[in-house]
Order: sequence, then C-alpha cells, then structure tokens
Amino acid sequence: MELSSMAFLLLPLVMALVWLLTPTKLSKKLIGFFTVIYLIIAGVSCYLWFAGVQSETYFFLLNEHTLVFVSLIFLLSFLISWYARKYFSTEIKHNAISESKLKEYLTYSNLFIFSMVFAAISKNLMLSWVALEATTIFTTFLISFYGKNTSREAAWKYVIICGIGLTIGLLGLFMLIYAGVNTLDYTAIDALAPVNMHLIKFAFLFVFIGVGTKVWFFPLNTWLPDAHGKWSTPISAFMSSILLPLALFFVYNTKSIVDTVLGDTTFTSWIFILFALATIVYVGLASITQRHMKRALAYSSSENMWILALALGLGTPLAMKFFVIHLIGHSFLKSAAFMSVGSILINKHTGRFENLSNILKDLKVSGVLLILSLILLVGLPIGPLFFTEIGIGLEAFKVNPWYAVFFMLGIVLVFAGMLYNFSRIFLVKDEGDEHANHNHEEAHTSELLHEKCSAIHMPIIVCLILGVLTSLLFFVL
Amino acid sequence: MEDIQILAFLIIVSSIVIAIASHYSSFLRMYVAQVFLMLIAFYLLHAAHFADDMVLVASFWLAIAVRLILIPALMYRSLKRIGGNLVERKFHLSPFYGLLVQAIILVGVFLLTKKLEVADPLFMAGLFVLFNGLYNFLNHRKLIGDILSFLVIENGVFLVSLLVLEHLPIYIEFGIIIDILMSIAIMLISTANIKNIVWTTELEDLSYIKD
Repeated sequence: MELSSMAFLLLPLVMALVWLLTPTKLSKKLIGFFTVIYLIIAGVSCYLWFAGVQSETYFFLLNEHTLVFVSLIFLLSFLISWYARKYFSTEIKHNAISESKLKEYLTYSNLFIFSMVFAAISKNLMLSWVALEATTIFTTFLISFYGKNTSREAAWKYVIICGIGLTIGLLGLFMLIYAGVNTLDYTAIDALAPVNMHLIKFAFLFVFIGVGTKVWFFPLNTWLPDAHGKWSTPISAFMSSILLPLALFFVYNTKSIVDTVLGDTTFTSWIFILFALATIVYVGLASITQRHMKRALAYSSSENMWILALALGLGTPLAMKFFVIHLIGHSFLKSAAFMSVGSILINKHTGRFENLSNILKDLKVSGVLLILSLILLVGLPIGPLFFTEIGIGLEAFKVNPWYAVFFMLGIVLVFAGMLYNFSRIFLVKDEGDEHANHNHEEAHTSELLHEKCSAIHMPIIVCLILGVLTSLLFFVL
Repeated sequence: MEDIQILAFLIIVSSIVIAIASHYSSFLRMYVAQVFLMLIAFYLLHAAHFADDMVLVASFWLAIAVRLILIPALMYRSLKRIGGNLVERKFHLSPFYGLLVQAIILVGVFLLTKKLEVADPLFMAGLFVLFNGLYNFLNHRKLIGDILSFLVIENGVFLVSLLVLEHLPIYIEFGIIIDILMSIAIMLISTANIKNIVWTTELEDLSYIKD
C-alpha cells in the first residue's frame, strides 16, 4: 500500500517531466496516451476507496477521506484531459495558442496535479501547506497562460492575495506549535498535552482566514472571479472541483487538531458557521451582477464551498455524510458546467452574457449540456445537490433556526443570480434580416466543427452521469 | 533574555521606520537591517544547540543565504530594472497618520499578547511586524510596494518561527524557503510584465487592464 502513495505522487511528476522533455510535435499525440493512464490510476484509487483500504506511512495517509480526494483528482484529470485534447486542438487550429504553449500547459497542469495529490495525502499540515503554496505557484503560470494583459493582472492579484493568505495561515500553524500542540500530524495528536487555550483559538483563526483565502472565504476573496475569467477552461474546472475543496479539507484537518486539544468543538464549529454565513451574503448579492459566464460559475463555486463549510461546522454524522456526497457531486457537475461553457467560449469567442445569444440554435449540444449542468448545480430536485442542500439545511435548522434562514437566503440569491444571468443567453434572440441570417448560417456551419465532434461532449456527458450517480452514495455511505 | 528584549524592541522600531521610509531603496535597506536583527535573534536563541544540531546550523545558513542575501539582491535588481529604486513611495495615508496607525497596532498587539498569556517579546514583535506588513500592503499605491509588504509579512512569520524552530524538520523549512522564493520571483515577473503594459506601477492604473 505504501507503493500506492508513491504511485499517486510520482505519476503526475513523471508526466510533467515527460511533457518537459517531449518534442513539441509529439505533444498532441501523447495526450491520449496519458489520458488513459489517468483512467487506470483513477480506477485503482476508486477501488481502494470502495474497498475501505487504509495505509499509513511516515508522511502520507490513505484512508476513506484522503482517497475521496485522490480518486476525484485522478478521475477529473482523466475527464478533463479527454476534453482538453480536442479543446486545445481547436485552439491551436484557430491560432489562439501554439503547440509549445500546449506543452507548457501540460507541464504545469501535471505539476499542479502532483501538488494537489501531495496536499491531499500528507499527514503533516506543514507539508500540506507547502503543497498548497506550490499549487498557487503552478496555477499562477496557468492563469497567465494566454499571455493577455487581463490575464497578467488576474495572475498578479491571485499570487499576491493567495501568497499573503497562505503566509498568514503558516503563522497560524507556527502559533499552534508554540501553544503546545505536540505535532501537526493530525493522526497523532496528544489530547492530554498542556496547551495555551487562548493561543490555540487565535492560531486557528489565523489558519482559517489565511488558508480560507484559497477556499474563497470572505474577506480575502477578491481573486477568484478574475482568475476564473482568465484561466483556460480545463484549469477552471480543476480549480473549482478540486482545489477549493482541498484547501477546505486542510482547514478541516486543522479543526480536528484544535478540537482534540481543546476537548470541545464549539469554538471551531462556530467559526466555520459564521464565515460560511458571511460568505453567503456576499456571494448571493454579488452573483446577480456578474457579466461573464465563468465568473458567474466562480460565484457558484463559492456558494458550494460555504455549503460544504457549513456542513463541516455543523459536524453531525448526517451533515458529514451530506458533505462527502455534495463534494463529489459538485466536483463532477461543476466540471461539466465549465467544460460546457468552454465549448461555447471557443465557438462564440466571448463569455460575456450581453454578447451571447442563440446558444440553443447555434450550439445545440453544448447549450443543452450547459442547461443540464446548471439545473443540477443550482440544486433543482433531480440531482444529488438538491438532497444534500435540503439535508444540510435541515441539520442547520436543528442546531439553530437562524442558520437555516441565512442558508436558504444564500441559496435563493445565488439561484436567482444564475437564473437571471444564464437565461439571457438562452432566451435572447438575435434579430436580423433573412439575408444576413443566411450568410450567418453559412459562415457558422463551417465553424461549428466543435458541435459535431463527440470528443468534446463525451467527457461532459460522463461528468453529468457521474454527478447524478453520486446520489447512489446515499445508500452506500 | 534582556538581549532578546532589546532585539525585539529594535525589530519593532525597524518595522515603524520601514512603514514611513520615503523611498523604496530605503525601504529595502531597512528590510535588510530587520532581517539582520532577526538573524541575531536566531543566533542568540539557538547558538547553544549549534554544536550538536546540524539541522539548526543548516537552517541558520539557509536563512542568511536566502533572506539576507538572495531576496534583497533580487529585489534591488528588480527595483532598478523597473526604475523604482529612486522613486518616492506613495501612500494613501501620509506618514504622520501612518505613525498613529502603527501606534494603535502596537498597543493592540501588546494587549493581545497579554490576553493570549504569551510573555515572549519576540512573539509580540513578530505579530507587530506581520500587522505592520498588512498595513503597508493596504497603504501602498504601487505594485512594488505590495511585494515589499509581502516580504515584511514574511519577516513577521519568520520571527515567530524562530520560537518553534526545534520542532520544524529541515525539509519543511526548505520547502517554505523555496515556496517564498518562487512566489517573490513570480510577483517580480508579474510586476515587470504589467509595467510593460501600462508603463506604470501604480495600483490604480491596473484598472486599465482589468476585465
């Protein structure tokens, strides 16, 4: 089983090295091969998770919690690589990027995957912190991937805010040690060690706010919409589906250390709930005014992060079950949504709502897939997120009715924002004379190679199916 | 213990001077002085263990190489390249009001450390340097000021880390140092790129290239 930990870590690292050394001409051809490797590793990690395998080494831990993240990382790596193969081929064909840029993307994205796996399976919070900082560094290169002025500004904002946030989180970790916590290995905490209780609570606050920057908690949350607007679609899918929940997992592990030494969960749970509810007010109000599809989806990611944070704060067994199902369901559905948006972006060359129209007429398949993704994401009652949101809401109501009130308010606000924004691109009709429409149609037919190709839609469909099948976990967990 | 108290006092004073320094070059010089004081604190706290703990010795030399030499050299070179070394710093709050804010921060940190029941003067100094760095970050009007503020924040964290150094394995320190170096390098590259676009390093001019 120690081999599994090393395999999970070494594979993306080796792949990054291979991409670095591979001649540029071979890059496009090798993507398919590595996509299959991701599928195999994803299968292994899913098998280990379902089989309830546990493995612990000096640095790493594979258990039911960490294997969820590892399985998600590799499953989504497979699906997103499958999608990215055709996505970037089209971009290269349209001269949006060069083949050497594709190689750069593949190198950095594999390094990013490596650092995510490292952060997920590290037992020591310091090592996880180093891995989270590494994700910031690698994703900064991916934000400025297209080399546009706006992407450089977004990269600047991202690296500064996340750098400062993670540094504050690091101080929190140092303060935990100074307060008397015997180790930052969350599996080996000595509950009886004498600690400075006040300093422990203060340290947790630092870690929560600092590392919460990556989770997009208020107040250090201004970077995500700008970054998502500039990231390539595959990276947006990764960030929202996996990195944000991974940072939340880090904060949760810190919570478990603090709860053990304090002997009580009240303080940490209250912090989780307070920040979750504060973020919902902000996100709910801000989501209505968004003008870009990817920025709107970024706010939806934040909504789902605070739903997960609320579940962790409530801490009841049912809330934890809903947490796992919501995490998995959201990861697949958000990836599907981003990939559908990417498909529209690459055809329409814009993501702004005011510039988009006739989506269902021009891009039937992508449009329908986007509608399905959004329906499932906002929690309408055909997908798993509906049941998890109801469940978490009910658990919140049991703890304090006001929590449930704010929870529902946030959900309603974000739902209203998504409905308002996305309905515009499906309902608005482009008025014009018949001649212009005829020429428009001819020009479009040759451009819509994308719509006829299944390579770009199959990963989205698989994500949607997996997202819906997540409901079965209600019976398994 | 008295030596440590004097060092903590000097580090706090250096932070205050950093915050009101009129030019970025003088900011950088005070930053180097602050790092030097911190390395003296490192030596005073841990010198007794140097003989039998090679990890501590390695950490000490790593801190000298990176924090005292490499980072300031990198910053100075970048400042010269973007023409920032002779430029006057611009603030939202003038240095006079800045001093008042820092006095409030100092009192706040003092009361906080009392409430937290922490008597170590270096801990208080570390917290003050961190909050001072955050204040600098909010008060600056130039991109390069953000990077320098980040360095000051890092100094605050480094100072607190000196108190728990014996619990930190060398590989973690190594990882932290690499992460910091790479973050700073990326920030400097981003600043240079942005300057090439808008021909200025004013934060408010970022709105011209914002989406």
